[in-house]
Amino acid sequence: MGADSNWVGRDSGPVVRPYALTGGRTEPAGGAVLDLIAVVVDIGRGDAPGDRLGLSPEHRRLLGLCQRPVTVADVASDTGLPVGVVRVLLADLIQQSRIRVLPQRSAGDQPSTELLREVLHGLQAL
Amino acid sequence: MGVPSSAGPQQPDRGRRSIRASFTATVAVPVTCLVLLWAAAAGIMLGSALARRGPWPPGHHELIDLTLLVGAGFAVVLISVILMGAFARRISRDVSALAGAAQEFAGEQLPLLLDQLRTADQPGVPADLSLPRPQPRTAEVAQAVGAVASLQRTAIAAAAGEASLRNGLRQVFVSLARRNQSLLQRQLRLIDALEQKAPDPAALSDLFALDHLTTRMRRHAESLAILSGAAPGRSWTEPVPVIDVIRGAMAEVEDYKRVAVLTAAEDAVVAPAVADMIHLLAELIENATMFSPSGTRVEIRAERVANGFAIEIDDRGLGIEPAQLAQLNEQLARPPDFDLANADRLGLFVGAKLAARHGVRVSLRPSAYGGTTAIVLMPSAIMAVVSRPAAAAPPAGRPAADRPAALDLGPSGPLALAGRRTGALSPAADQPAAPDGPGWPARAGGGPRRGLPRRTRQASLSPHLRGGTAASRRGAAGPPPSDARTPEEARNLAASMQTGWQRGRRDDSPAARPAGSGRQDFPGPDGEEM
Repeated sequence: MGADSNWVGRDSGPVVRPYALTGGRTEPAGGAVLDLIAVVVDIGRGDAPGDRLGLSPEHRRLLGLCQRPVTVADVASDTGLPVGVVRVLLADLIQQSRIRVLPQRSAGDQPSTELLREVLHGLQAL
Repeated sequence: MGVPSSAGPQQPDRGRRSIRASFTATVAVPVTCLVLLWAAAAGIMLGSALARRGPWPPGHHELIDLTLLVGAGFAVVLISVILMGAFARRISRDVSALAGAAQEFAGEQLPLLLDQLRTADQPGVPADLSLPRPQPRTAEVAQAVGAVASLQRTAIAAAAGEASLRNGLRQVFVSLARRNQSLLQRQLRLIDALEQKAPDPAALSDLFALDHLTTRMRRHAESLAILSGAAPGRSWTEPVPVIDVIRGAMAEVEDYKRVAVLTAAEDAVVAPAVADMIHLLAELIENATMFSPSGTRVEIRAERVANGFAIEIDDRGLGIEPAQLAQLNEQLARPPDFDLANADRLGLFVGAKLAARHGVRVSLRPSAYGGTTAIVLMPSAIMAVVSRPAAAAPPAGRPAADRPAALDLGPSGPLALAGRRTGALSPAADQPAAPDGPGWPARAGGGPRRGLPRRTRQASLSPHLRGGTAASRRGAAGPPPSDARTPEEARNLAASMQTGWQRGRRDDSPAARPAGSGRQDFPGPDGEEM
């Protein structure tokens, strides 16, 4: 007996196991698995008056991390949660229209060489 | 183990007499003497009467003598009855003293002693044991007293033996439980690592199933430890939000998918009570899910109330009969002693013990849906109020920098870590973009590294180079925000860079190099060569 605590603090592991954060789900809502380099950002919907119970603390934390456009991998590493869990939670937020995925820039959007040459001339003329 | 003899010296045997000797001395001899006396008197009187004339008719004198004789006979009978009564009273007093002492031992002292042994840390008969020891004056009753005393010693030895056996068993249980817990904790850490690396949702789903099984096994190992009187094993050093406590308890239940946690409370449970509360709530939630149909939800609500903090667990089962409900509530309010014998309702017993440890009140009520509501009322003593900064909610446009205080709750693994990291990153990103002029102000220490010496930007830099901001902005932040530089700064930067290039080109030309020196000196602060 006695005051033996063999696993203190972080050794005990997380208070809430990961499967409880998503209710056991591993498939993202809406079916589409988010790419790791997809960029998400908060739409800024805010909370409607009846919405207090809609989001779990993890949802809110993810929402907080998405104030600026950020990739899924960054968000997952910031929270320390498994990527699969983060995908499910972000898919929830997307379904609730609280965040959206920014379209990726394709390679054709790079600045043209003409523009770059103009900039170089301008700098040299300074 | 040895039992000390009862207090009080043995009365010397010469003070005691056997019943036969006592009877002879106090009853038989006096009565016999009296009867003999009376017979002698009767014989004398008859003889004198016969000597004078015949027995009939009796004269006046003889009548008086006869009456006296009969009276004396009655007196003798009366005296012998009194003597026998005294004798019987003494015997019965001795015997009833013995009976009283035995009764007192069996009815009061033995149960008290058993309680002492059961709850004592060191099993052993208390040395200051004193048993009532009647002092009879009859030898046979004294033998009976001795026999009862040895019975008492045997009973005490048996009780002490049972207590030490129970203690030994308890140690075995605790040791086994701890070994189990240790292995399960390691298994859970492995599963955590695998979940981080899970490649796809199907693999993650399998890992979740494994995680769930292992968590339930860990909970049962903890139950064993708690039943054996040891601590649960896990502990925390900081308050844990109550919503995490509830969800943590839900995760330890088999049918966790049927449980809905409907609360937005921001209170936290103080660290010493967290492990017990998780276990208690897990027992109640498990009961709720077991006694309700598999398609129904179990709802958990939690809210601060005037008397503390209340958690309600609603199930939609068939409910419990009023009589049994009353009995369960009684057991929850006053948990009986557990003696490894009552194995049904084990979970509720464990929960009641945990609740009693922290002053938590648990009660069951019939719910409005026909099922049962379990109400857990936690006193304010085990709740900690969390102060969150005013802008902690994630409205649009507000960076995550304001959330560190709220996220600092509880070292609950990656979540707290994330909070601190986010807090560490954002103050730098939050920096105001425009400088205050050529004299770059020393930045007041902000963020989590308060207290350590902070470098004042450009304090030791030559005044000629001061004012450019791009190079000095590399600090703790990542790439600087692209809109942080004003056009003036950009012009200053470009201008100083160009000046440097020109000077370098000029000084590098063969005309400027002093003859014989192989190394270009770096220009001093005023641009002159050294």
